[in-house]
Parts: sequence; C-alpha cells; structure tokens
Amino acid sequence: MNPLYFGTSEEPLFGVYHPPHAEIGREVGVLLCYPMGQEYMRAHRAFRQFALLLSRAGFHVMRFDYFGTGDSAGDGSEATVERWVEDIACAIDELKDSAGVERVAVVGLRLGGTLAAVACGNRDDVDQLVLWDPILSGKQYVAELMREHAGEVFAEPTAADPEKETATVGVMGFPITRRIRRALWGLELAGVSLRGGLQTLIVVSAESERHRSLVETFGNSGVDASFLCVASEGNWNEVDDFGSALIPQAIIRAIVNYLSEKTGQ
Amino acid sequence: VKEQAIQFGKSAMLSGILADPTAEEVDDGRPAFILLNSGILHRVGSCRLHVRLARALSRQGFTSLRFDFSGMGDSETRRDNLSFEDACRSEVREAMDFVASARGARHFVLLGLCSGADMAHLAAAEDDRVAGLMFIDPWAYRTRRYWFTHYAQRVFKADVWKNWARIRVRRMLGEISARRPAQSTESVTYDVPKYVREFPSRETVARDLAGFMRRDIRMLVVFTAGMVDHYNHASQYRRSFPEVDFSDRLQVEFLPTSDHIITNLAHQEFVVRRVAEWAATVPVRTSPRSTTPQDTAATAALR
Repeated sequence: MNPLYFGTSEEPLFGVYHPPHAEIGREVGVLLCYPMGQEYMRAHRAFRQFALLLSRAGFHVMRFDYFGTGDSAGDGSEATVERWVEDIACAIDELKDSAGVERVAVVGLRLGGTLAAVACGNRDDVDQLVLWDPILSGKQYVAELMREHAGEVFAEPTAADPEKETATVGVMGFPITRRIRRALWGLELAGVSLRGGLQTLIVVSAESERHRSLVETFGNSGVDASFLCVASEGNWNEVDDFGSALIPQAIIRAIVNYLSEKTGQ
Repeated sequence: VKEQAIQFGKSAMLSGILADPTAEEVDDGRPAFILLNSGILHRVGSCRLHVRLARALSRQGFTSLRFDFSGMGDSETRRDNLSFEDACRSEVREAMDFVASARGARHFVLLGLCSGADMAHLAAAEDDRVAGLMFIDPWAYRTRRYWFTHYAQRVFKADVWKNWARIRVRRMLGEISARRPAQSTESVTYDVPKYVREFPSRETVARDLAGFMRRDIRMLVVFTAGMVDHYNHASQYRRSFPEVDFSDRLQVEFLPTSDHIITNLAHQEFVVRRVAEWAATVPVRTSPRSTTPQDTAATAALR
C-alpha cells in the first residue's frame, strides 16, 4: 500500500495505490471512487478492505480523496461537482502511470458512482464501470441530505432548492455550497452518456426497480449493462453520535468476482 | 498546503499525514501537534476537523501529524495481543518519535476528541515530551452544580415539556414506536479495534492532572452538549477537580448547542480558531524538561 499525493503541486490530491498480489498480476487498474460527506466517513475502512481484496485478486488499485475532501487539498466550501469529475479523470491517469497499465475499471459508491459515470462514460481506456448503490437523481439526493440534516421526516424536498436557499449549508458536518447543489440538481444518472460496449454493473444493497431499469436505459445505447442485488444491511448516510464504519463484505466480494470474470482471469 | 503522506511504526505499519508549517517565521522550539483518532473515525477527524486543524496550525507555524491507530483508517492491524489502550499509548509514542526524528521536534501537543482525548491523557501521563493537551469531550465528573443545572434546565425549559408532550401524542397516534427498533448488524462487520469508554475514577484523573500541572503542561478543553449526561456548564471541569491547581494553565470552552461530533459548521469554525489561538500561547521550550528515556528514532524514514 503506497499513500501518495498527485495532481498539481498547488492543489494535490491524496490517494493510496495498492499494487497487485505478485503471483496473480493482472494488467488492469481499478479506481475506487468514494461517496461524499458522512457516507465517505462510513465507507473509508470498507474501501481499504475492498482495495486489499482487489489487489489480492491481481488488480492494481487506487482510491483517492476528491478536492476539498479527506486528505486532499482544498476546503469543502471551495469544491465543485465539475472539479470532482475532473479529479476522477486525473486519478485514472495517475493510476495508469503508477501501475503502468493501459486498461482501467472504475467503481463508485453512491454519488461516487454517479460522478464516475459522468467522468469516464466515454473514455476508451475504461472497460468496466461498477455503480454501487449509485445516486439516480441529484435533486433527490440533495433533498435527502437536507432532510437528514434538518432531522424532519416530513420536510419538503423543495426546501433544498438552490434557487430558494442560496447560502452554503452544513449537511451533517460538511459544507454544501449553492454551486454544488445547483450542479447536483440537474444530474440524472439515466441521462448520463455511456459509450457503447462499456461493461457496466449496477449493484445495489436493496432491491430497486429504478436501479434495475437502468439496465434497459443504458442497454438502449449499446451499453453492456447488468444488474445485481446483494441484499445487505446498512444505511450509508446514517450518522450516530460517535461515527461508525460499514463494511458490507458480500457486496464487495460480488464486485471483485464481477471484475475478475470480466477481465478474463 | 505542505503535506506529506507517511508510514511508520514498529508493530504495524501506521499511516498518516505530516503537515509542515507554511508560516514564514517558524520557531524551532515550538511543539509539534499529534492529532489522534476519534472513536473509529479515520485520521481526517470528525467532519474533517483534523484536516482543518492541521492546516490552521500550519499557517501558525506548527508541524502536525494526523495518523491512524492500528486497525483504523489506512493503518494495518497489529498482530500482537496488546489491549486497545496499550496499543494506542505505544503508537502515540512512536508518532512522537517519528516527528522528532523527521522534523527535530522536542515537544508535543496531543489533541483528541472523545477516545482520542482519553488516549492523549494516557500517553501524556507517561511521556515528558508532552507540553500541551487539547481535549474535546474528555472524561468528566459531575458536581453538585451539575445536578442543579441539570434539573433547573429541565424544569424551566418549555421545549422539554413540549417535546415530552409531542412524543407522547405521536406514540398514541402510532406514528412512532416507544423504542427505536434495534438495527440489525448481522451482515455488517465492524472490523475495527474494540474500545468501550469507561471513565477512570475521578481521583485517578485528578492525580494525573495534578502531575500535568507540575510538568507545566498547558491544556485547552472543549466540551459539547454530546457530554450532557456528564457535563453541563463551563466551570465544571475546574470545579470537579478542586485539589488540582490549574492556575492559568487550563482554558475551558463549553459549546452547549454542539453535538459530540461537531457537525455544525460554525462550531467547527470556532474550534479551529480557538485551537489556533491557544496554540500560540503554549510556551516555547528550549530543551526537554526531563531525561525520561524514550525509544530512539522512528522506525521508518520519510517516503
């Protein structure tokens, strides 16, 4: 495991590169894209374990913190969705450089999945895209965060409208600017363009017709899409008084198996 | 930002971020800060508080290391059988050794929230290099005034009665169950060290604190409402240890509207500003206060 900073010297991004298990060695890199906010906190240890399993399966693995998150440069109030998408592209290039590989798979959890689709849906060096419990609608996601923050079960989603609330708001400890909310407001996963032939797995921890229907939506554009439900407990967005980790091993193993099969070894 | 990803450690490879000062004038005698995990949250701290603290301290001319204890964040799990507390004490010492070796620091301020504060306390008790302690929600002990404040607040607070009535009406209407159903953790693995927070006796903590004061350790303590079952007014910390002569070495802040993990952005801002202000008041020391034997150099060099 090699922790490192990459990107520009003014605004470096923090990442961890996990080299493959020497005996298996695949010529494929896997980039892991974290979710945001409290979900990132809860997922951190799971991503480490996930990366270790992938490296044992022979993959070169990289996980990284977006600008304004984790150990990367910047404050959360300076971050933008556009910048996060650029960061994913930058991390793919860094993984290819560090590992000396040409082919890459990208896995993203929750908002990380949706951003990964935007960032690499049309890259010709990305062969597999795994969307793990991805955010389908940015608008609903923002509303969900705002509801959690307010602690009001019946809060109106429109309270999250970036045109009505213009200030930066703290959502469960993390700043969400109006610019971020605006960008998310118009983000629909079903509307993201993915290149034909891209092997895409939508994997969810609870059965969801809306997620399942993405297979058809993407399939209509020639995407090689599939769906998998691995029933798992846990709410990524839950916040308790002390912080907690969630490590859903079955779903992690399912993704490792999918990538192992698709990369042919 | 002048930050470097590092790995160090004897019994397990520990990961951290070493942040160097960005201030133009840096005094060699200034202490370096060691930021400790809060519960099982990784080194960025609750709501990324440690990252913001480290960067504010850098601007003030301080070096800091935020790292993960073994089995947390990016650090490996230990293979020996040390208890969580013993492992943490050993790893805080290794972290200080590392910063001493890499940056020449001779004195340290240990900073932590909740279990991080507990570990900072334990580590400070056995290492004379510690010159300062910054605790958020450390062990606290109730006083008579605590109980008076506790009941007075409840009796005179309209919200308490409103809330009581609202909950009962909703229960009658069947909107909420009397008890929150326990969450299943069957398929969830908490692959992290076990730490059950138990408060030592007040006398034990008082004895340590008296020792800290004799060693001229400076302390900043912040309490949130997350500790309301143990702490409810600003002066309680001093009052609960009447035998300790804190003099002006102790500063206490109480945030009665903050939750334990400090999710409110204004509270986060306050803590960052307050720590940076306080850091400037920790006296510069030119040499160690004693010659307590320490483990020599850190085991790993900078990457």
